Amino acid sequence: MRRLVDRFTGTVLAPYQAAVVRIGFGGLFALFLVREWPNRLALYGDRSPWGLDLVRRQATLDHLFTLLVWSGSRFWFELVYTAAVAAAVLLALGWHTRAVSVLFLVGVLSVQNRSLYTGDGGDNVVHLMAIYLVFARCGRVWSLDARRRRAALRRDPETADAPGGTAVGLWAGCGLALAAAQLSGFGARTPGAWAVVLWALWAVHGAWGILNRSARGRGSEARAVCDGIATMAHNCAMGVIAAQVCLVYATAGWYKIQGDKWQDGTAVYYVLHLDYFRPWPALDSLLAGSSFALLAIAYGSVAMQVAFPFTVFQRRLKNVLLPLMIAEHLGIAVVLGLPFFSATMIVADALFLPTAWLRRLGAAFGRATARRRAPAPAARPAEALTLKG
Amino acid sequence: MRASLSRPARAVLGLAGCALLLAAGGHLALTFLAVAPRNAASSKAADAVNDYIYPELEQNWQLFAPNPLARNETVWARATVRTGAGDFRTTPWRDLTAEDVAAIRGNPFPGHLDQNQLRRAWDAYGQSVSGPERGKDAHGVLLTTYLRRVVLQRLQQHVQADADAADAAGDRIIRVQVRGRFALIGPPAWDTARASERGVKPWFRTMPWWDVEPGDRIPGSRP
Repeated sequence: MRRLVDRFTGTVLAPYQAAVVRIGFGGLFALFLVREWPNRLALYGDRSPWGLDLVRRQATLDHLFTLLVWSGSRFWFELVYTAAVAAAVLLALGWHTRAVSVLFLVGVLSVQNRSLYTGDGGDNVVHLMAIYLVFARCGRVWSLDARRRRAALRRDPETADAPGGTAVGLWAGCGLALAAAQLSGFGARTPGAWAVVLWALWAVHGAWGILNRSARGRGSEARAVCDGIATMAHNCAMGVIAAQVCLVYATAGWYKIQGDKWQDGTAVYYVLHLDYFRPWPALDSLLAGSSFALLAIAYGSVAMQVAFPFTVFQRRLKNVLLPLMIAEHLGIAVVLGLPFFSATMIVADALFLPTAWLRRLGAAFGRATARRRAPAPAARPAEALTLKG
Repeated sequence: MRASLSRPARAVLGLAGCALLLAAGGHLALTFLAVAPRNAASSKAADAVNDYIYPELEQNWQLFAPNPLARNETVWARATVRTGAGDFRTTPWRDLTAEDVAAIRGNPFPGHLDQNQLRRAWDAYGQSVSGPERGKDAHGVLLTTYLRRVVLQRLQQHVQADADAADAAGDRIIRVQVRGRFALIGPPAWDTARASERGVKPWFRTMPWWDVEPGDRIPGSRP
């Protein structure tokens, strides 16, 4: 019990898994926004049939958060959309992760809530993860933050955690933007609770920066307490993320069990004949011809989804289960024409991969990038090591 | 907990830890109630669960469950056009879903515009109309307006193209009508238990005419 408490308060658990969530969902959202770039105005801008009048009415009725209701001007739209892309890329890179994770959340909610009726399951997953990531210390490894910290540690371990000019500037900029939003009256179009949340996050970041600025602050008990709270919040967030993924699979699986078409194994036949999820009809006909294959796919997916929460915490079982689920989602991406949704689910699966696999993956990636940068691989072995974090 | 910390510091950490665990546990409990079937606990706490989950924590994971949709629904629309000369004409019905489907065919990365916009506008409209409020509540009105604008935007482009082709400037849509076409997929050949679902003729459900209202005319989105 004592050991459990110590780990909960003192250890940032699952740092590699947190990095998977950050890089995965940040990167995917960036790719999504770039993919939809040609259609951005029709989906989220002034060419959308879900016009500004409709979304404003809906935002008031349902207390939605989106910066895109503040103004209908083209300039404002392009600014927010581009900023959302930038925040997603920076989050994936792990640049000032804690601050950028809040900006990423604002970007995700702004874009998605502008047109809720064009989203699907993939958007829903990203939406929730963006919220959870704000509470996670997700930049500990595989991030620019981690690289900067290592360099700072080599220079002077004493001041490694002191906030640099960029961090202070970012923080001040966010404060100014928040104040401007509130004073200009734009903020009035956003539910008041969000102002409280965003100001609170800003204050917490500020307090943490102040504590880390001076040697006295860094050695203080207040900093140790704050560090402990941040660690506990991270651990809670990772637990919630894992539980959320389990709830997704459990819901998808348990409800299928009640359906007679999943019971008799014909469900996949119907899915393959839905016009909206049918980019390759020839492929579907091939699959749909075999009653046996369809039955196996139907029973297999339901079994995996129902079993997910119960097997994913058992090391040996999950090492079999996860590759199977990832393979199934790769199949869905192609066969049903749902690449974005499938990719979000693959990231959700990858979150449960064992740390050893993830570290090996990271090391391989580090070697590959180091080789590309320095033609003579033996010349800079230290660089390869530091890259993997 | 770190032994080096003073007693008050440890107390603060302990309290914060309990609060965080409670918050995480409460969040998961409410999320669970939101995804679980309606039960004794969730109906008692229905208001609390809805207030908490909507709008930002929505959970919608009944993917192809309990059963996948067993039919293809296609949205057709037509319009009454006032021509530049002042006459009225009604366009033939046009299968708008077919345009989406054509755009998805052979596309490894279908976008939300083709895959979701019309499909979800039609779904959401259908749900609000068949709901207890029959589409008359605030959301229902929004969703009716939305569907009207989606089809208007697409029809407008065709009317425009036709007018350009006939060199008839000034054609203007004044009202639109939508109908849904429902076609059962039908059971696979080896399924003898559902033989009665085989060979059912598709049927239509036609909505009333909707007048185009101010604010409905949004420039086209497709090239």
